[in-house]
Amino acid sequence: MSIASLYKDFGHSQLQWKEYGDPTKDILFFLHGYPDSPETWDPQIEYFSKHYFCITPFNRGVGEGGPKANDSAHSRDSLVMDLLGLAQDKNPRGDKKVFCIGHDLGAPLAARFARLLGDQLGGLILINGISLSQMRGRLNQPTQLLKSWYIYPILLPGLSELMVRFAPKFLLRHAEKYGGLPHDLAEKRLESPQQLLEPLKQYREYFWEMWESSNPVSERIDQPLLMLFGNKDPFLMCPTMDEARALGHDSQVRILEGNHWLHREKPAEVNHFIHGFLQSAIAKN
Amino acid sequence: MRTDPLNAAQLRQQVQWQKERTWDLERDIPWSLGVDTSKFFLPLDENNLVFPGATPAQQKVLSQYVGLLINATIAEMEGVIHKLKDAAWNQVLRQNPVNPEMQELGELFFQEEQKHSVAFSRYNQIFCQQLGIPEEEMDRLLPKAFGSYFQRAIIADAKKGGDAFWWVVASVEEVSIEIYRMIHKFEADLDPLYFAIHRKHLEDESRHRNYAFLMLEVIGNGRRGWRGFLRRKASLVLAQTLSSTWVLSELSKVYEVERMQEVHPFFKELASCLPLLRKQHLPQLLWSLVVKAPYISTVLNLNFHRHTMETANGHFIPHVPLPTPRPGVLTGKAR
Repeated sequence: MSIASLYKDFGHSQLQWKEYGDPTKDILFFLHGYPDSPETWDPQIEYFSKHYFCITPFNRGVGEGGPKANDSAHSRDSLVMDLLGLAQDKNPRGDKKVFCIGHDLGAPLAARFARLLGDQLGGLILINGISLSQMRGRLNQPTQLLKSWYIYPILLPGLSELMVRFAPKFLLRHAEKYGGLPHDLAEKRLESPQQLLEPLKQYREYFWEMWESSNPVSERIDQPLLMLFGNKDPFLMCPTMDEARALGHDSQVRILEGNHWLHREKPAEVNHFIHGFLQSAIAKN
Repeated sequence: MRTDPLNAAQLRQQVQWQKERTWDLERDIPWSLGVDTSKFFLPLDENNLVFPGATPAQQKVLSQYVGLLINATIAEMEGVIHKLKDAAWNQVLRQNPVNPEMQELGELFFQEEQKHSVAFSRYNQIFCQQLGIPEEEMDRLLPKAFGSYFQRAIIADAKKGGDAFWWVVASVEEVSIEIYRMIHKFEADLDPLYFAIHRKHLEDESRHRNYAFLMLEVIGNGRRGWRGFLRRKASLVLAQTLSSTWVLSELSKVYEVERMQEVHPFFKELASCLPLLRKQHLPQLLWSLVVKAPYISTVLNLNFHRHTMETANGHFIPHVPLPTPRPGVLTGKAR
């Protein structure tokens, strides 16, 4: 799905995004994870852009061109402020509902963005991803600590950068294989190793923010929440209702047979559940 | 039989199936028939294993007493399930990754179990009313799970995250089906109302019996530390121990009947059977109860519970080894 990217500087760094569908419709924000780009959402965009206005922002440093973001621009709130600016641009009267959909590293971003959207928020969907307060709640879970093994080298500045510079394609292929994504379903990426390097800073930023965001209220929403998970995700344990309810009282957990990139692996099923959730959330709103 | 707790489509289909085919307690059971007290409730072992040498009149009373005992056991077990709904079910579903259909299916399961409990209790009440037996006197001979050590231990285990409860439920479901399998050939010889209730019970059980196994899968695949791991490994042994000791202690209530002989002729006839029971040595009696005696061995001997055994073996859960059952030939008429 080839479409030109849009750019705007909202005061922190340049935000790059793509948009699809009718701008008069309710808005879906699709926030990708690592090491993905907005193309990871192609099967969803194709399905939902017929009925919604879909926006797929690039994570910091992932988009092509533009100035390199400084370290502070990688903090979660920095990017969320940009997203809020974009939402304000696209929904100036606030009369449309905005839904946030996040996968992997996009999930903590989506959770915070959803919280700050206030009444505009229609609902939040997390796909094989959890919020920072949920992650913090898992720090006493040995299984999750084992599954998060890949984060530990990332936390050491320099080491992971060295590895990524040395063998970017190998690491990407390995991550996909380990995450259970068949090669033919993987998106085309790796324009430059820089796109793999920049988001590493986000992991570090999020790690420290996780300690600060122990209060789940900073992410709690009143609108509906759907957590969609592949049961074989090697990076994250499947969520429980207790975890989901800590984020939003009107929550639903849906576990499917699948891996980490569930939205690419089982697009029809994922789209079906997202579609049902959106309809029900709109009816509630 | 096998359902994957993550297979939402299959679970949804089961929810729909159960809703469509469920029966109504008032409408679908022929309560107006009343109890035919001239008939057996359950076929007995041809060789009178536990009561050797019983007369035809004693055999009828024994069949009816065991029938009431089975009803009361199922009513108590399925009734007590509600007491554990929060600790053993709600908490498990909240703390483990599950799809919403498991919740819906569970609600149906608990509703149906409650319905069964009411149906079996009502049958026993009708029997007492028809024969003019004071219900509170009959209650002294029948099992009670509410407030028992068994119930308290199972609740305590569930609150600590154990799954002994679901092993008990899985076994009870299998026992119910096994009992119907044993009696269905003797329909003409048995009380029609007794038979009708057990047939209706079987219909529900065969539809929802997999729920306990689904819960065991959820717990097995769920989160736990090393304590949870050990608790899970010990859960079936705990369930076996608790349920067996409960069943045996409740069975021993039959000796109470000696003090109730003057209350009603039914009790007098039942009391006259006790000397036959005492003829046997305790080890011989226990062996008969676990290996040969119909119904009771079905409850006590895990080898009768095929799916429970398969699930336990599949998850490497140890159990108390018991001898292979050798049930005798049944008969629905007095000899």
